[in-house]
Amino acid sequence: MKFNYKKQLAAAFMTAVLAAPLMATTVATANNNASGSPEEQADITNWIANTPQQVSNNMAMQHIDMNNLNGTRYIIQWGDTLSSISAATGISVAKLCYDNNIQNANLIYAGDVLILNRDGDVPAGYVPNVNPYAVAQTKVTINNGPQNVKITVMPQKVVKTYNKYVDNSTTNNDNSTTNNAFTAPNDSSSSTTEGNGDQSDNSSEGSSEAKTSTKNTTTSSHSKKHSSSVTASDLVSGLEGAQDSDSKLSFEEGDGGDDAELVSVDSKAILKDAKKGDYDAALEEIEKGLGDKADKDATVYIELDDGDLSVYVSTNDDDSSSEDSNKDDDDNDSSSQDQDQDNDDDSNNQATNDNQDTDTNDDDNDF
Amino acid sequence: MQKKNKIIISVIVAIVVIFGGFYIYASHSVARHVPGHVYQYTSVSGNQNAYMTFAKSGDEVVVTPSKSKALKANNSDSDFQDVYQSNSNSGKWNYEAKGSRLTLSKTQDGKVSLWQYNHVLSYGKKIHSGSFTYQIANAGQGVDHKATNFKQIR
Repeated sequence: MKFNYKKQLAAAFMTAVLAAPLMATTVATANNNASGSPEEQADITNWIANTPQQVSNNMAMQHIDMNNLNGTRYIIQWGDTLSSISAATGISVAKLCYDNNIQNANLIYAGDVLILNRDGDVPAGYVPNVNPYAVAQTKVTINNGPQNVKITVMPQKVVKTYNKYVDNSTTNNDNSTTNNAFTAPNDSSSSTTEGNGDQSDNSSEGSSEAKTSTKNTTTSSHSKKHSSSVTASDLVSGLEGAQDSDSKLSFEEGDGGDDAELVSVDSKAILKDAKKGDYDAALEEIEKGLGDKADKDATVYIELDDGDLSVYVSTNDDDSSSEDSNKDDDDNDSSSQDQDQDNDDDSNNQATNDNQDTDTNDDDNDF
Repeated sequence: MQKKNKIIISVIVAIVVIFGGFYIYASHSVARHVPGHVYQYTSVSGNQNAYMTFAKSGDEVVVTPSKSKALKANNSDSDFQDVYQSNSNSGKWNYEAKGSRLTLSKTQDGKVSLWQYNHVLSYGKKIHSGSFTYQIANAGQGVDHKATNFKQIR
């Protein structure tokens, strides 16, 4: 009896082990309607706009009666565009957008359900703000192997556009810098409800949010990787990103005026670290130069003139702020607000554009 | 016995030189092969095709699922431009071939997606790629170690 129990337990265990991959696949498939392995999803054929004939074939595969499109559900396939779906079904792009609440977005997603409805009209004046030629996107980031890859051979004509796109897709979130250029919009996966007709509205909001966030741009990890020179703006944002959340230091460009005093630092080492993108080491060097002031509520000014780095520091003499933790919190909040304002500041954006130009030239050399 | 050994070594060296030479030639000739030709690309899964017409000069390429469009683009320079422009709504395609790499780029709405085919061997009317590196706008990036094939159809 005891032997049988052990045998049954072993059999159950073995079954679980064997069935686990199958179950995992089923769960993954349920979560991601866009079919295929990452290799297949990344294949170039999925990113070429389908012809109306291909869309018709896809609809036939889904047993859709093209003569009776009355609230019919169609699962969007790789390569589909609103334009090709419209041409295949005879339903206008505006009607498709209206029925599926697709607004303010250029994206439809492979695996989502599109309601096809020939009946009914679009209200007068309804003009969807979409690019009907945009190929269906993915909600799940396609990744195989390394998280970041480098394309070494690139058509010269697209180098500038590529750099601009990558730079504009970089956001600074608190202490980290993230690049959304090659990441599926995060919000869309949680905001989409399949087949209820308004999924595209939610996902469109998600994607428009993602696009809005890309506008708050300062520097990019890409530019750091490829750039042979670092700007003061790069240093400031890199150092801000590298410091701990409880650090009282803040960083700004410039010489800080009369109140700031020069800090003795190993500027060559800092620049070298910054070029490598190692801002932790650069911050360490600066904190070494600051000494005791590194623990105080101070503003560090970074000035970069013809490749010469100068670091200044200005301490805030308000002692009460260091004693009163609530006051500290307020200070931190206000400094983070300042950072946000800096991100929106046109002059800062202009600086980013300048960086892009420099990087582009650098990349031109690379290629 | 010594003579036999020499013959064997000579044969091995000759084989290595022939195959090595062929490999070096095949792995560095993609840039010479593609301009002005139409290729049929077979997907990783093997069940999808795309057609690519490479411009005779410049870095433009028509990438389409339609064979007739791809062949039309290869008729003349003006036909190429007609097809290229008519397809540009759904993205402008460019390419760069260098050494053993062939990269195709798609630019749409200011976003660039890239597929770089690595370890490309180009021989006769066939191009074989051992893997590809991709960066797809708002979709993902990575390296796929799956072989893909291009077959010249014109």
